[in-house]
Amino acid sequence: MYSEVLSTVRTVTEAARLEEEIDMLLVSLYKTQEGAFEQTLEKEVRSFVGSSIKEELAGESVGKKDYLEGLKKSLDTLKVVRLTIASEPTESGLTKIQSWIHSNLGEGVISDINYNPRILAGAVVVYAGKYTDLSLKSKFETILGKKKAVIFNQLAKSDKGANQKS
Amino acid sequence: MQDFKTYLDKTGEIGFVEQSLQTLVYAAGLPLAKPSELVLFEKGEVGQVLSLNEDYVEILLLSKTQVPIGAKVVRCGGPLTITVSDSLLGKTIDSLGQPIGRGVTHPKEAESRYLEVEPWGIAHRKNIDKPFETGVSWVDLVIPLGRGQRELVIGNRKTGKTPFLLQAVLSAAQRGTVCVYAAIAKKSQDIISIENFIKKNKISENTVLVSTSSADPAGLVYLTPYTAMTIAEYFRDQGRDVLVILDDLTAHAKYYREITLLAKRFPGRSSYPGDIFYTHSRLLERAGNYIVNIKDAKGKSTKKEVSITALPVAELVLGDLSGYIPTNLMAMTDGHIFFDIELFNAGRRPPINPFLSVTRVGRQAQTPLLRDLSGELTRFLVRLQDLRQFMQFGAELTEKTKKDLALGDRLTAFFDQSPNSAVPRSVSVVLLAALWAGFWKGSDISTLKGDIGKIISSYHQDPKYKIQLDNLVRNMEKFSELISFVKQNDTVTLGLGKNGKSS
Repeated sequence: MYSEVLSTVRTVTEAARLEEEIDMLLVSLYKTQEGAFEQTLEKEVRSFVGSSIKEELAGESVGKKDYLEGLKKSLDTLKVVRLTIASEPTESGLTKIQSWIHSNLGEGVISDINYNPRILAGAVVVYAGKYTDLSLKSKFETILGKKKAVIFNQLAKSDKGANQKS
Repeated sequence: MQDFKTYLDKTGEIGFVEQSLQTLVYAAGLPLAKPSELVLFEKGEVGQVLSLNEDYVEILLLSKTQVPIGAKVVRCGGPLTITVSDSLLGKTIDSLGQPIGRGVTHPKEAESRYLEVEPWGIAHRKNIDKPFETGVSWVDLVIPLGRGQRELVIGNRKTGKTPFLLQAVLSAAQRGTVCVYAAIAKKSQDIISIENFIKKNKISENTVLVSTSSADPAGLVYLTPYTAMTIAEYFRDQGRDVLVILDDLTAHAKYYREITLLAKRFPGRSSYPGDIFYTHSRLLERAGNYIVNIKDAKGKSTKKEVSITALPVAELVLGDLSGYIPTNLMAMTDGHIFFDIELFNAGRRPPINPFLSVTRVGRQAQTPLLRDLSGELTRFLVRLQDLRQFMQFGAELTEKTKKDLALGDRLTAFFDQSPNSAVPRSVSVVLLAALWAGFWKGSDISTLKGDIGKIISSYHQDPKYKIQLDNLVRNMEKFSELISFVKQNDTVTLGLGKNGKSS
């Protein structure tokens, strides 16, 4: 019933934004001004969300209030994947992430993206209480921890070579 | 304990705090968390999993600082443990084993023990057959205890329970018994007083103080007696007799009630949770007399009888013995020593009421002499009480009655004991026999007290005299025989008090 509107939600921020819009629409239902709901839908709600809501309302036999309250409740049931990445995602990057989530974790899962340049690259993923560190920083640390002596030896050798050449 | 990142990498699980309710925290995530598992928050706070449901993990916070919403939490992979070793002796620690004041340096091979373990079964236990000396004449003669006994100390607040417990600690520690004192939700001032008592009497090498103050988080207070018992079990497994003082379990029950009410558990009688009996019984069940396998330096295993004697404390409200927690504790202990507020107000120290006190297994551990003496004394005390009631009618008294009343007064003076002194049992027995034999008849009370003091100090200072009294008490079988012996041998009482004479 709400799949079309929910498919427009990719992140926690977008979910919060949609919730605000639903609240505004719910308030507009009680305004005496004629066409208040339609006006709010056009002016206050993002156009692609507004059109999705319009389409779903036209196709369903439920009242506006029940529809909006149901939509709000279904927003609460969305599961969240927490992602920490090294750079701020672009619009296309967000869409890519969301499509990966849809294809791997199914529908009804959105992302909560945090930006932390210290992880260098890759991502830290938290989902359903599971924690996976797929960052470059952690890879570096693991390798450095295991092969510290080998790396330092190599570095020392290359330093010596460079000095001899000069 | 390792750091947050290490546990995170090890378990691969994380939780996020969604609700923080004083001492309780609700976190989402941690899919494989187990009840009683230790958890660590990102800022270093620790907690213990209390319960699980579909959406949240309910965590009992064990740190003083509050955890903010959104804070990360990881599992530590096992239940709460504390590090135990002989280094704990002479130290004051909190219920997580962290030192308060002076630090504890454990050896590398120090072991970690779970706070909550299943008590040993009947196969490892032995009947109680050795007396436990408290150094308080009232208890040692009238309500005798045995090693491994669980005896409840019960009474109104400020009736001298703690001084009695400290006397017991002093007496036991001086004999080499390890004493673990759990001060549960005590005032900081009281904790310092206990520490000072231990230092002043130079018994640090045999005592461990586990303390939580009333300002500590409820979770930490709740764990205090379990930590004390865990430490006691460590020393038991080292082959040492242990005395555990749990001061007090009514305060412990109140803190547990606070936790469970916050956790919305269904309240039972007096709002205590349904498992309050189990909470205390599973703790006290860990005390007892055990047969332990002790390994020597060569790795050879020998069996040894070792005890954990427990003295839990219950505080009464207006002397009401029928309260919920006191009756629960009475049901799970082997008797109780009742500190009577009326006797306290009448100036008796310690104000122990022998008629309302019970010892269930202590008598079986006594020698025939002590059993005989205890019976004789109890009969006399009952008669004395009747006589004192009868006197209120202003009746004319016979010579025999007057004698009994005078003996009663001397007995009262004999049993009055300062909180800082421990009277050895042999001295108590000999002095009682001397009183029965008519010594100090006609003497005033201050003379009697002065002479008792002299005999006690001679016992401690003169090894020959000590051996003489100990052998006398060990070898005699009947109280009447001892009375005759004391009558005929002045040396037993150092010549003091004979024929009512004073020194």
